[in-house]
Amino acid sequence: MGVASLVLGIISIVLSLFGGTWVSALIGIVGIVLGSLGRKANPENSGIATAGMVCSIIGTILSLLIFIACIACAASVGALY
Amino acid sequence: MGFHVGAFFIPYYGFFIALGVCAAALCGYVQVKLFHLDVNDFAIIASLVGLGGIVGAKILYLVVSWRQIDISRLLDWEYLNSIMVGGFVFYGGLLGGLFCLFLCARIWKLPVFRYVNVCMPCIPIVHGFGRIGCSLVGCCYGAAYEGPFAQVYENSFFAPNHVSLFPVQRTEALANLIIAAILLLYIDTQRSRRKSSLSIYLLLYAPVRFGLEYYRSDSRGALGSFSTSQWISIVLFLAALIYCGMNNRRDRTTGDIS
Repeated sequence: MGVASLVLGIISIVLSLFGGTWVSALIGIVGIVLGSLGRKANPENSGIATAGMVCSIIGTILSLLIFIACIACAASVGALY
Repeated sequence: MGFHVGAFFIPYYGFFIALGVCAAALCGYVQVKLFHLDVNDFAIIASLVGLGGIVGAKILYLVVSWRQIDISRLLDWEYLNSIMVGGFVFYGGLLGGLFCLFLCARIWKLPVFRYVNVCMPCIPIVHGFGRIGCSLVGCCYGAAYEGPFAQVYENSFFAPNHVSLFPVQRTEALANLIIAAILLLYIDTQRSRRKSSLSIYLLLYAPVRFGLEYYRSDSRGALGSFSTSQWISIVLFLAALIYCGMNNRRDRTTGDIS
């Protein structure tokens, strides 16, 4: 789970920085969950899981930072046409 | 409606949501340490609640604006992406988050309410920062208003420009941060009664949201004379009231206040 978390965290960061979308936020969140589960499963040897969790947190924050833009909660969809 | 950092354009709303998430995570971490809980469990619950929140907020947004969505274009990635990155309704996020809490308890057997009780202030913190973002870009804008603290937009894509509007976003941001402060004070001082944190949050926020909906001018879902959010506010307020009543009755019967 730690390795999976690290992979997802790196993918999330890369997607955020190089044109990813809300998908990178979802991948980052899954990475955080897997990293936490990995740290719980093996607390003595949690280096990779911790790294994965940190990368996933960074990827998620970057995704929120760059790609979330409110479009008037229930209104301006018409402007999409 | 944003600023540049090098080659990257950072939208105000995304910036303040990210800032809110960081502030809420810090608050949650401090609370978890204060009450000797597991940081890993907090990370799992917070992440899944966040995921449920995003999905729920998006679903409710799609539901209330379904008439404006061209379903035949949903397979067009650019059109789908433009819908997915914008437009969220807070109450959908709250309900989605609560649903994920239920899943956390059922699937991973996590003691979710122990974490909800001490980390409840995280929700209004994120929401408050998000509303600051709304205030800067002009979405969720207020009704026409000429009084003090009125807001006038010059270049907003969402709010009418050069019109004096009620500062409903800043008002709600302030209310959320005050609610967060009240919850922190309550949780950290009334340790034996902190199990009502969620109820107290709903009892405080629902009336605020119900009232502020009358000062909003952006079009959103409505049913009869109330908006979607007002109906949800009524339901959640009553549910919280009933839950508090049941809790108080049980505490008086058993003599247990822990």
